[in-house]
Amino acid sequence: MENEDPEVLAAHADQLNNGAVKEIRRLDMPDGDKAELLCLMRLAERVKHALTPVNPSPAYKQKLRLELLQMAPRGAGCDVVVARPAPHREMVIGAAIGSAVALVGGVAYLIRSYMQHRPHHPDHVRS
Amino acid sequence: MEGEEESVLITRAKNDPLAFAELYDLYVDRVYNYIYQRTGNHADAEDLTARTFLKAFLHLRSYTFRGIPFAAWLYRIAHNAVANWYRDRHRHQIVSLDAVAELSGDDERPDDSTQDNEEKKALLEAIQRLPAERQQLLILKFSEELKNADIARIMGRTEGAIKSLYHRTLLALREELHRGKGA
Repeated sequence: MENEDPEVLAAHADQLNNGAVKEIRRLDMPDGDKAELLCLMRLAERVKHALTPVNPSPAYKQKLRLELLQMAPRGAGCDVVVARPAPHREMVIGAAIGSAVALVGGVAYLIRSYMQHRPHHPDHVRS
Repeated sequence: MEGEEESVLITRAKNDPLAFAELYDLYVDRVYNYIYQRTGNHADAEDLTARTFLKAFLHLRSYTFRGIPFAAWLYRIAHNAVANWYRDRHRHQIVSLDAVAELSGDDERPDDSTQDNEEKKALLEAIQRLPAERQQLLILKFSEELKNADIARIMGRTEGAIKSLYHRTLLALREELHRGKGA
């Protein structure tokens, strides 16, 4: 009997959309199964009620239509141009400062290494 | 619209981009409604509807009628746009207070209206906790009022699979509602 549930519920959903729900009492099934189905049908009716269709505003529709028509002369086969947001000025400056600090650090490290490993020339050594 | 008429429109739109406006006029309400039901607010619905039609416009030449109606193709684009929107922005769906308020507009009994609104809000929240494909199914079935065969084409399944998914979706939704009440 359970295998029939999807069929019965689908038929009920179609009836909901058509605005004519027939009584389920005629279904030939045990009371327990019928109660389960009735519970799901009541839930479907609530879902139908909750998902009321919503339309866009006429102004929005008109605006989008106009935008699409303005694109039309360029043709539907044109490449998609994805507008990437321009990097923020602060980010560019920050990146530049970061690079400069890294560069200075690198130079300082090289100088320090050079100073540590360079050959010593003791004062007491005389030529 | 019959498949043949639609096919003529699409051919015209492929050759004359200005003719795309006719396809837009036919489907903009449905696409917008679908996206609104998924996102729960008008601002994002407007943004994603624009993206959907822009993508459809730019890729119209690649569309070929192979048993998938143009509407199904549009819904798939819209579905992917919503999925990307969630993924990219890590957003969570919200129940639109506008929608709840709109529902109460016709009710003359304030007490009942408040209770109805609470129930509707809880129901919408439970729907939004369902996996994306189950939300899609409920919206296509009840808000767009599509037939199972059409839903099957959009979701790339058989009609029987859609009926089974609908059954499982109602069971899961009932479970979500119970969970919501317990929380």
